[in-house]
Amino acid sequence: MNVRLDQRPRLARAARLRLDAQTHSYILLSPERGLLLNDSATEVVLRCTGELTIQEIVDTLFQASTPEQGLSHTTVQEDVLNLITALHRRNLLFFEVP
Amino acid sequence: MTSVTPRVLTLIAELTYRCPLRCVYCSNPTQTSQTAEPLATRDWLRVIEEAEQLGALQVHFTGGEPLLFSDLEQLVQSARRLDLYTNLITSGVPLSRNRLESLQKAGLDHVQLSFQALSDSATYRITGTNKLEQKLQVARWLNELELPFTINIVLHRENIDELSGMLELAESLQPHRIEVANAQYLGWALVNRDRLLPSFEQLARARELAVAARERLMGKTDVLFVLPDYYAGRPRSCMQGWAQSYLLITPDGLVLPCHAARDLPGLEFDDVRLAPLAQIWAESPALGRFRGSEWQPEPCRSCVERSRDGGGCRCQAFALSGDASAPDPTCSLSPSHHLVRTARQQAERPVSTPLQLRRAPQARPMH
Repeated sequence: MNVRLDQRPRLARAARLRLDAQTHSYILLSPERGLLLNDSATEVVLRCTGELTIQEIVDTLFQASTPEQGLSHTTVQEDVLNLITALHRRNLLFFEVP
Repeated sequence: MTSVTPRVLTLIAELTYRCPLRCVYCSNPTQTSQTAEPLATRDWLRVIEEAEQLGALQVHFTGGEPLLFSDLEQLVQSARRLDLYTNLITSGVPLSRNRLESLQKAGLDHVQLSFQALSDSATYRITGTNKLEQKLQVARWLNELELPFTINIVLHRENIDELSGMLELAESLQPHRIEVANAQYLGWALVNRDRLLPSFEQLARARELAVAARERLMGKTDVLFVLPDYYAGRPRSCMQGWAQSYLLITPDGLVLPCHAARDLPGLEFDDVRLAPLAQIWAESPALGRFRGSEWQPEPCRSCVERSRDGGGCRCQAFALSGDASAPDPTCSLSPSHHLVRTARQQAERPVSTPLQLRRAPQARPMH
């Protein structure tokens, strides 16, 4: 299961993102599951609309990060790829056919 | 009892005990007569709203057969307006394409469609009828309407040797998930246990098939496999703990921690019409009875794994040992585990005890 940077991730129809009033976090809902997302995961998932490539998501998030966070482009790319691969393996995220 | 009331995450709404199928493994109670009138639509609407306020993120509409509840669309719509993830757990009978479309318009997120067997003979033995063609039709409609669905296969001795074909069929229907869940031996499955519990070898083969399907379909369809507690060595964390995150309402309005608890002796569950749900969830003595870990006996109390399974299933403890506060006998550390070992040994030799088809709990007599 190779995920490529030029793929355009999109949430599965069975998955739905919502804000949770009790934790003030986003939760990714799917059948019998709820995945509480931290802030950085939320930033990624909000961009999985089938329009942006993974590369574009990585670049956007890297540019938006502050120097205090001390993130390298490589770290951001690794984190994004890990999350997207994990969600794809759980069938919560697909790739638009180019 | 814990001092902090836990957050409800999932509401299980048993809309009716009626069902056109009579599955021999049904999780509905086997003995109970219903004690009160069925909940009205306005009661269900209130329950959904109050469960959401308690933190619920998901609602499962189930039964019996929830499609027999005529205002189902209204409940789905109301739940979806509150941003709950709405799941319909159904046999697919009776259902038309039109009704499915109106459920989708009402905001239904997901359908869990049950499949019992492939062959005509097994299907009759298991359900008392044969609705396979209707179920296949429903799956095709779900695909046409792009409504996500899970094919749910409850596995037991009467269908386990058909699993390969069932997986092939399920795969061809392109569901979001395939769930191969072994029957758990409570309710009607316990009544029919001698006929339903598979042998170790059958189970091992079934697991291999499910694992192979999982590998083959990864990234397309999620394949889940759930062992029966009897073969797991350790109990499941039943409902993720008694009255911890699941809240179940019966057709006649009782607030329960799970599907089977109303048959436990000595527990008075509250009628949701008589108090606000938040008050019942926080203060019901029956819900408090096994909440947390204070009630646990040895060897659970000093077990290193106690936070993982919370002592297992109270209904299973009662059904097998006669004591709802005993350790779950499916745990190999339980003093009653020999009962489970004996059942497993019996499962090595096929038996001819007749299967008992499920009967719905009796409705309250009309005045």
